Amino acid sequence: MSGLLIWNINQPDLSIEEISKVLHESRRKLYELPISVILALISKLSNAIMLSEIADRFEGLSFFAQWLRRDNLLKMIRRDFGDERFLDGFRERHGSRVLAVPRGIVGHWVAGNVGVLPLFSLIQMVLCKNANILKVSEEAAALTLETLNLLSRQEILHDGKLISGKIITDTIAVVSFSSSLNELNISLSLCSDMRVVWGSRFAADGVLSLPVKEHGDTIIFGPKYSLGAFDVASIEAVDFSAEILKTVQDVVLFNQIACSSPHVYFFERSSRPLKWIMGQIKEKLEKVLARRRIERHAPGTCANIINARGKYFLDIKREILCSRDLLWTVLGDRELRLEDPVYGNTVFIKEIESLDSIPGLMNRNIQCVSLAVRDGARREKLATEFAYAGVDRLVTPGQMHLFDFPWDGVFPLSRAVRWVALK
Amino acid sequence: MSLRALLSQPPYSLSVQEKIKAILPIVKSQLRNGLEYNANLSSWFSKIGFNPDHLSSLYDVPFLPTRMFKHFDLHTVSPDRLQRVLRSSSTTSQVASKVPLDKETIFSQSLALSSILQSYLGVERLPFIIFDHPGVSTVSGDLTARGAGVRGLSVCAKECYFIMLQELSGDLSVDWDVLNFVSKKYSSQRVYGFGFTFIVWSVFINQFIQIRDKEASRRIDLPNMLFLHSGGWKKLHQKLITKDNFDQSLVNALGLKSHNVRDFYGLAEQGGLIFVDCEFGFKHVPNFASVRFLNPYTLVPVEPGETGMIQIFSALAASYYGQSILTEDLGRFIGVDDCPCGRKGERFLFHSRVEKTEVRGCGDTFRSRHGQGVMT
Repeated sequence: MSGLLIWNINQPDLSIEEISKVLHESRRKLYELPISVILALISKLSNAIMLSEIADRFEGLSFFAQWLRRDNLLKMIRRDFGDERFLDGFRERHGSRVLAVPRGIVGHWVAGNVGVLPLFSLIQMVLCKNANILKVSEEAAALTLETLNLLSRQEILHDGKLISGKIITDTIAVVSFSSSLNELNISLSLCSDMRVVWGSRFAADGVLSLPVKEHGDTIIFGPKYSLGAFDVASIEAVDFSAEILKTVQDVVLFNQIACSSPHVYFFERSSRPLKWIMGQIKEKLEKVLARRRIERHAPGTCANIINARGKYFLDIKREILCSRDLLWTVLGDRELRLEDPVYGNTVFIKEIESLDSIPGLMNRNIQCVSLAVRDGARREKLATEFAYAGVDRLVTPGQMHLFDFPWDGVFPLSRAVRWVALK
Repeated sequence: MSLRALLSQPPYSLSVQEKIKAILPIVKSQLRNGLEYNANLSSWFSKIGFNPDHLSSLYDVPFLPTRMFKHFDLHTVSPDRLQRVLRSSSTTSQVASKVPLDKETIFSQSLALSSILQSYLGVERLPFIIFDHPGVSTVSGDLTARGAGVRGLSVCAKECYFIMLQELSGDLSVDWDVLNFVSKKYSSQRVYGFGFTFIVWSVFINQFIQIRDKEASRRIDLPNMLFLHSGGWKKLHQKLITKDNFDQSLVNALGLKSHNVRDFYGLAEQGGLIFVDCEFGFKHVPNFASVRFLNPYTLVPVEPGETGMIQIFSALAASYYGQSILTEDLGRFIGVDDCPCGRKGERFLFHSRVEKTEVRGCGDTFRSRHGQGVMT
């Protein structure tokens, strides 16, 4: 059996049920592998990606490689479990001996908007020693498979034995088929001990309507909206320019189509005029985009940008700065409201009286708020209000896409294991 | 050259170079008015540093996306000169476009349309057979694209015949009695017809197929009809209906010649301008307008043979900003001044509407219906 199970609707060598059977047979070896060894193999993958030409070919892969660093993954496991060694054997936890046991097979339904998303979804489940069936879009399949191939070639020495990344990839199947093929979706759902869905409301509702194992759990990472806010002190600080650079990096990463991609920024009224702030953003957009591989927007996005620009050009109360082509657009006004995303490096800048009025705009669709507030106490007070209003993550500029736990209000690792007690 | 003088010439007589030179001073004067009478246009010009007085090329007139007609009052004359506002509701949006018209613009657009149609129909007024129901072009309420087409095209009509009825349910049915009467009366005479492409297919062709073996349909024979149709291709493409299928079905139903089935392209926001297929299948741009095709990403004009977003320049829109409009349609630029039909100016093929963006996945944010802080 090859390291990767590639199942294709046009060449259905194996049914999903057969894939599931193979994965069940393979996952025992992964279960017996200490978490330290899994982390070491993944860390080697991180280095391999950075040294490989694939990092240049695929948007976001370098970012993913950095996320894979051992220290980062370990920090996330500890935040979730307290101690990673619960994955290797029974350990004392507040008066009880407990073990984190993988759920079994995790079925992933991953949208195609962010190419590296299937990999992020996968690795967290691998850390919990689960086997995985990844349903990915055709566009994401090549990136996913190439990365996993790289993982299968990594080796480390452990207790005098050479351990191969193939132990991990033997427990992973990548499949791609049309969402309209309901029978395949049902098979995948019924083979999954846990389901993870990344996608639109439509996709989430589709998976939720599928039959599921009696013990099956489901995590939905649904459609979300993100934004940012700066207080007066941050705007007038000497490092404002550096903060704007980070802000712009948040905007452009993943072509502004991730759930963590910001579309609107609120700026408290300060000594810096709105037009000046827009100018700062313009400057940084030009700088950052000049260094990036540019992916052209879809024609529909181009039409949306053209229309948004038209409105801001014509409106006497609004301001606009934009490139000659459709590469970037900065739209400014003083209206206290969220805006429909335009995408294509289009960011709405709003000058408002006080950040205190923003929590009133929040709802459960807001994933991430980049909150640049100097005073720690005020920042925490605002964050508490944002959280109550529905926001899932509050970060500093430049951190919006940092895939961290909790995400969308969930500690996914805790959900990816069964906690078993030994008395 | 004044607009009136431009309109008095045969509509496809000028080369592209000649016409853009002729249009420039007319448009320049209209833009100056826009600057004076419209704060929104003034805001726009100021933001992009555009001054009509410094305009040296027609192609430097900044484009306005067609959708702006839904959001702004785009008049370029003193409001007291406006005679009416054409409100055209599109099929895809509930918000109507508002096109402010003064007497001069209404007259110029009517003259322009008449001149274009004469290039295809001849100067003699002809019987006009409308493949729709009479209510489609009534004056009250908003005028739909269908209604605007019917009204505009009747400019060359000697008599008008609507060959459909609207049932109480809103459904349309073919009035075979009227069609048979027209067929009998004009079978040996030249007539012209018009219908909205999807209505023609879904109502007329569909009902014709159902009764084709019956007496009512066998009598229809209009071999000298030039049949014009427009719009609605998206729905036909979804049903896998090609232009050939469409044309052949009309030939079978009406007994007309296949080269006399002509598609045309036009916008409610560019009244007086329609781009009709010539006998070689190309759409032509008349003397008083120009068309470019912009790469959707770079906004740079594409070369002949390439496809781009259709940008229309017009000298007809004295009362509103129609001097340079960017549509959400894609066209294939074929060439200039070189059509075998003899018409000068740009020629092109309509390609499609720009597909709406479908952002998939977790970034596919949606409108919340809860509370005030919604993404509206």
